[in-house]
Amino acid sequence: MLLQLNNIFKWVNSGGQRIFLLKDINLQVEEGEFISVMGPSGSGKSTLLNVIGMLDTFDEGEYHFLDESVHTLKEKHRANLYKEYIGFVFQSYHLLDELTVQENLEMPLLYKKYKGAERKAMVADMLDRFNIVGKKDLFPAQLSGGQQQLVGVARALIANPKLILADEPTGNLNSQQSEEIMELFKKLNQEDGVTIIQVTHSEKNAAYGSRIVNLLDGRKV
Amino acid sequence: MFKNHIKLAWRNLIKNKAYLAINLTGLAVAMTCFLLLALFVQFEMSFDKHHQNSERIFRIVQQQKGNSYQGTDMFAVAPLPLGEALLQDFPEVESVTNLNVGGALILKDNQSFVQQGLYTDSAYFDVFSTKVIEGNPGLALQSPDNILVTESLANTLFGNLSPINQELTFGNGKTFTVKALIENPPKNQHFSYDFIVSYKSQGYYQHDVGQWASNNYHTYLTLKKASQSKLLEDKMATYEKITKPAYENQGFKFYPEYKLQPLEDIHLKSNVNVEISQNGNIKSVRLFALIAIIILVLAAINYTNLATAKSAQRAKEVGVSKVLGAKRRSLIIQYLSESLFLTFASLVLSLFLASILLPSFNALLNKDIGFNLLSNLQILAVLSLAALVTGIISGLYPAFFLSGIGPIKALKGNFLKSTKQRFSLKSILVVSQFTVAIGLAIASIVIQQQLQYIQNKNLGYKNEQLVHVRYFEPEITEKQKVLKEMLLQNPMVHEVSLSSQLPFNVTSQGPITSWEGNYNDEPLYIYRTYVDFDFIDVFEMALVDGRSFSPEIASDSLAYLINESAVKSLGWNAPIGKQFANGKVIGVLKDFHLKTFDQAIEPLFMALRTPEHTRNNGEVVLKIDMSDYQNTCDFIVKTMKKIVPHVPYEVKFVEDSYMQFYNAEQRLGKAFNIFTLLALFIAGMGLFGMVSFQIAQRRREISIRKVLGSSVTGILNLLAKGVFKQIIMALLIATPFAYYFMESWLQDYVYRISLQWWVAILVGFLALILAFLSISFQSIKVARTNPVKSLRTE
Ligand SMILES: Nc1ncnc2c1ncn2[C@@H]1O[C@H](COP(=O)(O)OP(=O)(O)O)[C@@H](O)[C@H]1O
Ligand SMILES: [Mg+2]
Repeated sequence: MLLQLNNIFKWVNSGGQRIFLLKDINLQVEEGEFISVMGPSGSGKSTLLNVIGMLDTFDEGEYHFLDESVHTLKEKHRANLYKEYIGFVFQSYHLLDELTVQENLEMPLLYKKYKGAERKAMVADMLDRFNIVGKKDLFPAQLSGGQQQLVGVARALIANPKLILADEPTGNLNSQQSEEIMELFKKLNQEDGVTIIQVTHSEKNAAYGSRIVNLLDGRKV
Repeated sequence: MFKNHIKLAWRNLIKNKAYLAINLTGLAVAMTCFLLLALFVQFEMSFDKHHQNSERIFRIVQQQKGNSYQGTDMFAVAPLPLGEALLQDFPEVESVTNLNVGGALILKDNQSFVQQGLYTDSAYFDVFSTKVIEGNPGLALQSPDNILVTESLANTLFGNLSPINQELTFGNGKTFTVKALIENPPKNQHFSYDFIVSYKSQGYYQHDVGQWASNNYHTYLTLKKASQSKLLEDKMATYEKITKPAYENQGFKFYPEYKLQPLEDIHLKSNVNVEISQNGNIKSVRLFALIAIIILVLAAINYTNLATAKSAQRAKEVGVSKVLGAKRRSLIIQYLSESLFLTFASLVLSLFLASILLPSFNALLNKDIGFNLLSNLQILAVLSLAALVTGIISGLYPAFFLSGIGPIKALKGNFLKSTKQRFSLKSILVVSQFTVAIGLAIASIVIQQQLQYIQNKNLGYKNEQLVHVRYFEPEITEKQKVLKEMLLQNPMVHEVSLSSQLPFNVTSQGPITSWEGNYNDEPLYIYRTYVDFDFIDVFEMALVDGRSFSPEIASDSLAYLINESAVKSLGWNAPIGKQFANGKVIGVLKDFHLKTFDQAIEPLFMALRTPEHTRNNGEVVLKIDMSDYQNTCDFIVKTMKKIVPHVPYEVKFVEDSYMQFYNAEQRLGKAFNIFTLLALFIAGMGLFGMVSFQIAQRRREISIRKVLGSSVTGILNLLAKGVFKQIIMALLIATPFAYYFMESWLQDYVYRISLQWWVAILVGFLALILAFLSISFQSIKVARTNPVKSLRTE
């Protein structure tokens, strides 16, 4: 088992009222799964993904990730945990505009204190694997949306995470580009055993996964 | 349309309070500085210009080639007969007056007042313009028994009563009748006075009549046309046939050449011997004008920087306006009106601030600058112009920058994303701000170091525990034995000495031709101080050879102590017992500083003071126990008053009087400290603003980096790195300039510190700390916020 959420609640206080963003979420994810989270806009998909990714906190419930109880961990340990095991892919890619493709890929490695030679090898490997060696010195603005997201996925993968969290990774892409990314996810999941949780609006994309989690008003349905 | 601009400008300004506060404070502080410095410059440049004919008035100065004293052979004095001769010989001379300035004691109802007197003739009022309140001063001065008083003196002596025809008695017993009331001389006149009498009332006048070799007057003349001065200077050479024999007659080997010096130049450009009072310095006026402009530029840079940075937030406004059809020109006007609005608001604020700060500013610079802006159109105009120029220049760049962005780009809001520009305008501006701040900081540390050096250097004698009282009464010298005994009765008074001068201000110098081995009668120009038996002990001066004066040895009345420099100049190997002047050398003093540090130690002799050397004045120096200082001071004054009543004696620390000679340096040092702090403050504020906008711009990047695993320190590093690079670049630019200028400033001192390399390192280090604080203050918060917050909005 990779992670387990037990009775997770998250709320915000607004005008003396408690507004629930997540209500009593229970979810168990095994290693090697490919899960699609679906639901209407505002139903709490991103919130759930952020909680799983430990970027956001929750107010009640238990969260176990591998052998750790995330709900009891200090922020610093949580950060170390997600740095080590989780890669993020965003709808709007979030590449740094002033860095080249190569430098963007290298960034997560810098924060993990890999040595220079090691970093170079890993980046080269990734460029090779994603077929973007020719683009390594370009800036994000010089790439198409699909290519940018390709770099985004490559960046998420570079430090060998166990889990990839992707929030509407194809939201800004056309159908052909979307298909490429989905094929890539499938390949990663099946050949490399990477666990993937993606948020998507598209039934077609959801079908790439092995399981669908539906959300409505912060509740699993 | 215009109203609309103002309205939009106003709303934009108050929308972001922090932005408004940063800009307003920066500009207002800078403008205040500018205003104060402009007032100072104006004041210094205005000296003596209030006299109606000021451009046609000249002062006689004389060059005595071969008689160099304190570094110059020019003297601002003239003999009495010269004026009269000029008036007779040259028709272009319209009027001539001679004058003298000196203190006097005025007695009234058992009280005494020390007042400054002007001793002159009735032509004074033809040359200089003086406002008369009552009486006819020109007529009054024709009699040596009359006196003219200023308003302030009249007020001190008679309150609101009319002073006219009142009698005034002086400390020397002479009585004068008040015949006119005149206004106080303006503070921007190069000499000042409380009363005017004729010099014919003074004892020395008789000895000056017809004497061409006696220079006891300052002589001023009005020419018909200012342009005649050069020609007249040449014509005055004819007086050589009178002065040459007259000087020879007195045993001098030189004679004077008379020159004319424009009245308006005296305060800032004249530095000759026997000036009436301490003049100003054109260098410091220029320096202050430069600093005023620099500070204004710093603040303008801040505004430009912040306004451009803030454009990130205003991009939408630009885009919308453009889509709605706004012309580029109207946008430019919009942004310019914003910056002008801000500068003029700061101007109003600065008027207020300056009026509060002026008294302290006056105290700092020892000036008496008035603050009457409504009548000071010149300053008002300069200030408005400065505000206008600052507003336009600092608004221009953001205006063109913002209005030039295409509407689509602006709406997308990503036009600010840097495209790996290495030298953006913004970083150039930050670098130049820190260059100025660092340069000033280095300069002020070096000035402080030199001052410390002056204060702490071993002078060759001891200053500690010593107080002194200056006196002008012959009775003190006549009864010095009794006085000493009375003073020493107080156990707090350890030692007492009477001398002609204090050791750090030996001014009397003259030639001596009689000494052993001087076969060619070569003159040795040597300083001299006349002392008593205790002087050497009181100041703990060291003898390298021989002995000090002794009361037991009668022949010591003709004995001399000379310093090491004198021994060297005389070329003696064994000086003790050698014939010198009227007697013999009995000891050699270790060289001590007899002048300020800008002058080398020169030959000096000391002799016992006899009545012929006393000139009725001197110093009483006392070594006292500091524990009961106030009472001891009172005792000293009371004791001296037992010998001469009424005189307001003043006890001063010898150390303070010593530092008094470095007043100008001390003030310069203080002023530099203040300007440095201001420049640092403005630069720091600019940095603070820059960082906060940088953070706003880089929020997304910071969040991404955090999600990808960066720690808080990693984010801090990221933000600090760029700034640190800029500061180090500023340090590299500023250091050579600062060192060059300070090296040349130090060149004026014979005894000086050498520039230390660590000063620049220290200043750079401090600038880095300042920058780091300013960055971390803001970025820690950002670095710690949850990255999800800024990544969510898509
Ligand atoms: N910090 C917050 N404060 C208040 N409301 C929030 C906050 N974060 C999210 N929400 C609200 O919670 C709901 C769920 O948001 P989100 O998880 O982004 O939905 P989804 O990704 O499914 O569109 C939305 O209505 C959103 O406005
Ligand atoms: Mg969402």
